[in-house]
This record gives sequence, structure tokens and C-alpha cells, in this order.
Amino acid sequence: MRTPPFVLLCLACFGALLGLRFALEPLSARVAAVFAEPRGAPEAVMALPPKPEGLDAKPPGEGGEGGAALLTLEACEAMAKDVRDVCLQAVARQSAARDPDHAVDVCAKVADAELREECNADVAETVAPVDRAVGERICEGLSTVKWRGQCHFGMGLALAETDVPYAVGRCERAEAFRDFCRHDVVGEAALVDLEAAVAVCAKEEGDALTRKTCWHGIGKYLARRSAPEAAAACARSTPDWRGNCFHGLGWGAAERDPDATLAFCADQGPYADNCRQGVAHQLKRFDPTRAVALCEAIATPAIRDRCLAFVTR
Amino acid sequence: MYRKRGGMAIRGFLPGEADHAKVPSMRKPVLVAFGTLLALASTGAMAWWKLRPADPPPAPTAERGYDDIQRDEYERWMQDLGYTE
Repeated sequence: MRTPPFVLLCLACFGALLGLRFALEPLSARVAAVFAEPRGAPEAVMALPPKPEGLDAKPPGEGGEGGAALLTLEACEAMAKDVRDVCLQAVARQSAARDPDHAVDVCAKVADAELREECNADVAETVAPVDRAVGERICEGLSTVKWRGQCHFGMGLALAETDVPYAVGRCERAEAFRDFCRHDVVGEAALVDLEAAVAVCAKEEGDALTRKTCWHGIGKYLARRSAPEAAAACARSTPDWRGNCFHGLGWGAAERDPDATLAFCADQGPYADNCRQGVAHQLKRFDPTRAVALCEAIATPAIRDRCLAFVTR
Repeated sequence: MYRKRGGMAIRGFLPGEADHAKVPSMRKPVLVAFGTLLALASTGAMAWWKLRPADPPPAPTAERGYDDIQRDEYERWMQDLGYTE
């Protein structure tokens, strides 16, 4: 037999190495992913914060004072690549209510896939008060779970003050943002129609988290306007979740004035510590040292522990 | 036993050939080094596989459906954004 054995050995080794390289490929991809995404980074935990203030956001050039120039499709096309997509989004929002089909066409020109989805979700939110069916169609046409959820969430917010049942119904399609949506929609609704908002939460739909966040929304949104008004609404909440409502009250009121809110919390009887906890949670973002001190001063051990766990993480 | 291939003497490794002839002196260290490296590499790969860190718990990304998200991590997500206590 004339087979060259050394060559066979080399080929066998080469084959083994090649096999090893492909066998380890999935592992190396996983390792690369672990190193690429730093654990603990906010964006790793919260993929996309909901947009509680979304309705108030005005795109550049739309409305407002100061004579801002109206953006045009042509102007956007002439812009540099990094601002072109943002410009197109603004143009789409400008025309969404009048001509949603045109707005969707403009969104289709957005190059970045993520921004394109966001653009369509914005169009749906803007057109929702004028034509719900069009908004729903746009939302359903989105390809990612995230933006479909955000789209329905946005539609819910857009109609929270005018049609509470419909707005809450949109939240049922908001996927991962369902409870965020209910919280904000009910909160917005409470500002114009407290009875309707209370009626939604009083149904006690969903699990404990869904139910208690509903009352939290009422407490937080009303407290942004008036802490006493929020406290009166919280008094109507289901007793099991009343503490969560006062937590929302403390958080919402502390956005304006933490000191005045703490003084108000002191008068809230058995819910004073829930209220203080809400203030501490709000302060965590701007004054973490004071937030820790506030938590440490809370008398109720369980609330103090939860408060400290949150502000120190 | 040696065979001529391309004018170069190469050692045969078929059964029965290795016991009656010496490996050429220049090739033996190369083979030993190659074998050692291969053994080290496979041992290292196996050790790495065994000692690799456990998979991190999946973060609540919005690409996951509502029903796919663990309620405790979802609650934490809500806490971080000020939606519950």
C-alpha cells in the first residue's frame, strides 16, 4: 500500500483542529456577548423606558412659539446621514394627523430600522385622536414586539383623557409595557376624570403587580398637580394597595418640592412612611445621599428595608 | 523503512513500521511539540468549558413578550422607573 502515513496524520490533526474550532464557535459567540454587554448598565436592564411625557414632546418645527422653520422632506434628504433620520421622523409627525399615509411613507425613508419603527409608532400616536383605525393598523404592522407595544401604549396615552375604556384597552396590546401603560393611562385619566380612573383600578384586574401599579398611577399623577387631591384619591383605593398609592403620591409630589412633600407625608397617618419612601425614591436620582438618609429615618422596618434596598442598588 | 516522496525521506507510520526504524531526528521534536500543544489546547478548552461562568439571567428587554418576562424582574424594572414601590 502506497498511502503516505505522515500526510494522513497531518490531515487528521488538521481535521481535529478544524472540528474543535467549529465546535467552540457557539461558545465563543456567547463569551463575546457577555463581554459586549456590561451587566448592570441601565440600558441592559431597561431596554427602552416608556414615554410618560411623550404626548408633550413637540418635534422640531412643529407648533410652539419662536417661529421655528417647518421641516420638509427635501430639507431632510439634504441633511447629513446622522440627522437625516431624526428630521424625517419630525416631518412624519408633522403630517401624521392630516395625512397619515404620507407620514408612513416618510417613515419608510428612515434608514435606521429602530428609528423607522419608532417613527411609525409616533405617527400612530399622533393620528389616534383623529382616526383610531389608522393608528391601530400602523401599530399592528410593526415588526418588533417592542415597538408594537410602544405604539399601542402611545395610542392609549393619546386617548387617555377622552376615552378611558378605549385607552385602557390599548394597554392590553402593549405587551411588555402593559402595566406601564395602565399606570400612565389611568394617571392621565385621573387628571380629567377621577371617577373613570378609579373605576378602572377598582375592577382589580390582573395580578398583584398590575393592580397595585394602577393605584400608584393615580397617586403619582394627581400629586404632580396637588398632594391633597392625590391623598383624597388614595383614600378611595383598595386597602391592600393604598400604601403603593401613597408611594406614588410621595414620588410625584417630590418632583416639584421634596421638602414640602415630606411635611405633607408626616400628616398621612399609617401611610406616612409609604409617602416618605416615594420621596426617597424620587431623590435617588438627584440626591442619593439624602435618599439614603430619608430611608434610614423611616420607622416601619419593612418599608425602611425596601426603601434602602432600592436607593442603594 | 523510508519512502521517497518528492525527493524527501519521510518516515512511515503504518502499524508495524514504527517499531523497527527510528524517527528522523529533526522531525521528532516537531511532532512532540505539536502533540503537546494539541493536548494542552484540548485540556484548556475542556477546562474552560467546565469553568465558564453560568449564563446571566435574561434582562427584561422589550423584545420579549409580556408573558415571557418573569414578574419579579419585571417588578424591579417598574420600580427603577418609578411605577411601583
